[in-house]
Amino acid sequence: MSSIHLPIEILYDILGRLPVKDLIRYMSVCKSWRDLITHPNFISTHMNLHRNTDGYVLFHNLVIRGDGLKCYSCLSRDKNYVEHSSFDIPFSCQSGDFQLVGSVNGLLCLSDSQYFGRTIYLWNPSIWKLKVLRSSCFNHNYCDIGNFSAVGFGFDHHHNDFKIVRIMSFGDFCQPYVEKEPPRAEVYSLARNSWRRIGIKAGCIAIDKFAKAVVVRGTIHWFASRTKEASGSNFILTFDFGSEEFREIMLPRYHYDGGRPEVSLRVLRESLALVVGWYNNYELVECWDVWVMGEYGMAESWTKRYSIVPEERCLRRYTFREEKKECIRAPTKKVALKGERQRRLPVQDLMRYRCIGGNIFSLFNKNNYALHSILEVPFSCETVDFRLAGCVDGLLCLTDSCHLFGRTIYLWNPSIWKLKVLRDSCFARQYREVGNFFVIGFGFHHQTNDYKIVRIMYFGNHFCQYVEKQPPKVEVYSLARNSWRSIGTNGGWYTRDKSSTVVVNGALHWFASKTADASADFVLKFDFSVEEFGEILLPNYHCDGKSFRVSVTVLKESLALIVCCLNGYGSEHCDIWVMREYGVTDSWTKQYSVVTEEICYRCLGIVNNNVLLLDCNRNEFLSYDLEKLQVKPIGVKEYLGDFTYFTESLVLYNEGFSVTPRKYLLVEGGIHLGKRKRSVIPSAAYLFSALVVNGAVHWLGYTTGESSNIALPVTFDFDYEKFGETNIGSREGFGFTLRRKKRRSAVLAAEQLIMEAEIIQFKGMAR
Amino acid sequence: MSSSIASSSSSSSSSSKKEKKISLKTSDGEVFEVEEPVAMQLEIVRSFFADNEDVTEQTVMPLPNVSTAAMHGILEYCRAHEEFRRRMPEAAPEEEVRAFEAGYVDRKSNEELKEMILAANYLNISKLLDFLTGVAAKRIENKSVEYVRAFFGVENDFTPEEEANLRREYEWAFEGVDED
Repeated sequence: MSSIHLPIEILYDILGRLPVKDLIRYMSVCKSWRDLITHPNFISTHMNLHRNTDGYVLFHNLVIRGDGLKCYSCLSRDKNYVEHSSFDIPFSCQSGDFQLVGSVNGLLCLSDSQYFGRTIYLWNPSIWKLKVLRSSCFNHNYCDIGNFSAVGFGFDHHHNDFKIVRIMSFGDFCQPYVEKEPPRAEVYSLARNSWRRIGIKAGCIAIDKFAKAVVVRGTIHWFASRTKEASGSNFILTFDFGSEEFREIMLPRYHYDGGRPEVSLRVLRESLALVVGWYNNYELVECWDVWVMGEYGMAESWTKRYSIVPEERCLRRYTFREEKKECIRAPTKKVALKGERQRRLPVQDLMRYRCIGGNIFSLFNKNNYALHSILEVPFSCETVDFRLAGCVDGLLCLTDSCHLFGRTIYLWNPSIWKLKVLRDSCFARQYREVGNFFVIGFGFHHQTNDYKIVRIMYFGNHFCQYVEKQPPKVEVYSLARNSWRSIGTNGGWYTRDKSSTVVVNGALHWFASKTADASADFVLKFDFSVEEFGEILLPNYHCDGKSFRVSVTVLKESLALIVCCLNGYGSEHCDIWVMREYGVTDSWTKQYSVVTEEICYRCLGIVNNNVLLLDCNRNEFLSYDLEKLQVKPIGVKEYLGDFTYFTESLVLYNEGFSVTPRKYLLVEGGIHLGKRKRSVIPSAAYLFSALVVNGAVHWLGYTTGESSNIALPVTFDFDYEKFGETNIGSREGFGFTLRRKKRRSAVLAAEQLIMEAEIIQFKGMAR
Repeated sequence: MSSSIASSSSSSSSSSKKEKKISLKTSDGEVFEVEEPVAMQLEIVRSFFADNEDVTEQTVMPLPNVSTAAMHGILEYCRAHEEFRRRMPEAAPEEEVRAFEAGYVDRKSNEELKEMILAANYLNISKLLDFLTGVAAKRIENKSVEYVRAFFGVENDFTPEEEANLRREYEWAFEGVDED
């Protein structure tokens, strides 16, 4: 056994040379060793010994591993950059995506990339210790959506203390910065473990949100610009961690004509350096200039030390800036909509087109068909996309597509973002049976000042030719009563139109045929006042040997028929029959006959009471003015689906619940369920609409767990009381199993939940 | 094995007869006659001669905390470095120094190393101490806790529960440890 005992100061010296992992292990040698190793003096001695010796180059590796976490690669400091090790971040943040603020003495400072600076994570990967900073001096503004922060992390040598400085700017992160109020600053000291507010020169600075700050001489530097002056008055904002003061450093004159610079601050041989990248119009790097500040703090000592011209043109690296723009696509849209509401434009036509992965309505001005704005449905349905069942007075009647058509009806007023979801039925027993299908009529009844929906449920197979097994069942929904009521019918007819909003003379109209006699077509009407079905006979519009496509429409407040005469490819001509006197069959007259030079694939309908819209080429739409007899192409390039009139209104203001499109719902960490449980949301943070489908509430949440920053639906299952993500790439198309139990309570709970969530947000702001 | 060191030291000392010699007496009574520049690397000797003006060449300086074996090792190191300095006064030949140091320390057991650390600490030879502690650190790097206890002669004063808790808490630190 050993007899020699080394004195403590030598032990101190020996242990100070060891790597961290060994020290952690040797804590279990004996108690005095444990106390020695964990003593603050030893920790700082160890830090000082290792500060400049065996460091690594740390890369924030943006390649996503299978588990979705970013991994870090430590590369050795040798010139050859051999990978030393890589490690995952063993914790997660709100958006699931970290951004490195800085690294001093082996301590990493990370923050959420999306809510940069809000929560700060101090992590020592060598000993796997983490400290999470969630508090702030400015609790009141802390969680406001528009605010953003610049964060600097450094070490104060005088006080032997790690410090974080955070500058909170008040503005919209997504927009170019407009200073609403002067920024505020606060400093965190690890020794004190608290934030302290400090003064910052008011009203003059904006720090590049994405720029990396650099630390030189215990002072952090940001590239900043003055908000009160025109662009170009850039400077370097400095913060001394020792004296805790802000200062400014002038920039050199790096500009030359005709270039667009991208400026970043760097450290070159312990000197402050400015890397100015010049890009040409193709986003290719022309050259980089490296300016070095020879004597720190002396603006005259800036010298252009290097100019790097790449031989092959470098593409601009994919910065996060572009990614952010992608991510904020939705909110900017809504801002546009807000502006539109203020302008109070006249009636627009609402046309609908589907683009890839989105349920989007575009509003066109009805006179010149200029695209006015785009509406995005802020909630989701059970199938991949919505079908527009009708639009009356700005109230959209949407429903699921395909086999679920008509089962759930979404009344949505996009002008005031109110939604009402109709899920129940008088025929609850047959309601969800496979094979039954629905036809919807949506209209406004002037006498009772009420919006009504007529739903006809057929018993048969949606996909096969309809054979009447039993008479259809009909129910009527009244928005004023907020209930469905069953209506008797004898049946014997089958409506070919899936939906109708043709309201003439207080009645809805569909094009229908008799089930007993397939060739006997007629117009089925449903009278709102007596709530009965009736028939209107058709004129003799037949041409010899041709097939037809007939649709019912309204022309100048009269019932009208558009009869498209079909050949093999499309329609040869369209006849428009108008019923001059309502209910009198003899008054049907063929008022127009439109013959197109090109083959018309389909007739979209009549806009503006006198313009017929024709789809001639799938990509080109023609408008045919029935008064001036002129054909004009509409400048609409998208593929149009259904279209309808749209006017803005306040309908559904009281009945519907807000879908909160513009206001993001921040659910920090999770949702409290009553008093007993708390469910933790995995990675989604911003939820901006909610909808309960089949016992689960669904949000569209921006989860940045994947690189693409797409909106993923976030679900909360009431049965299991936990959050989930439907990992379907698009924002729509949830797949779920039907769960009937608890459905009603779930709907109620969802609305409560949304309120609760809003309360949480409110609390977060008041905190 | 200390005899080999003694022979090497005597051969190098015999080369320069004119030089001033300083006598140093170790704890076990052996007197070393050391060339002045070599002895002056020992900070304690330098300050002893600087502070006491009445000392003569015949004064034997007692070093009660240094054993003969440690003294041999220390003098070997100091003479080698003096040699390097004499040959290249500006910059020491780094590769040669490193080769010497590697060979020098490989012959030492852990006990000898510790003894020399103690001696170097007492004699206040900062360069040697720095080198030796580095060697000691290298020797215990990535070793098991038991090895380190044996190396330093430390008694485990943890209860089994306490030690198990520590090991459980920092499980990752106990992975991938070298064989003793």
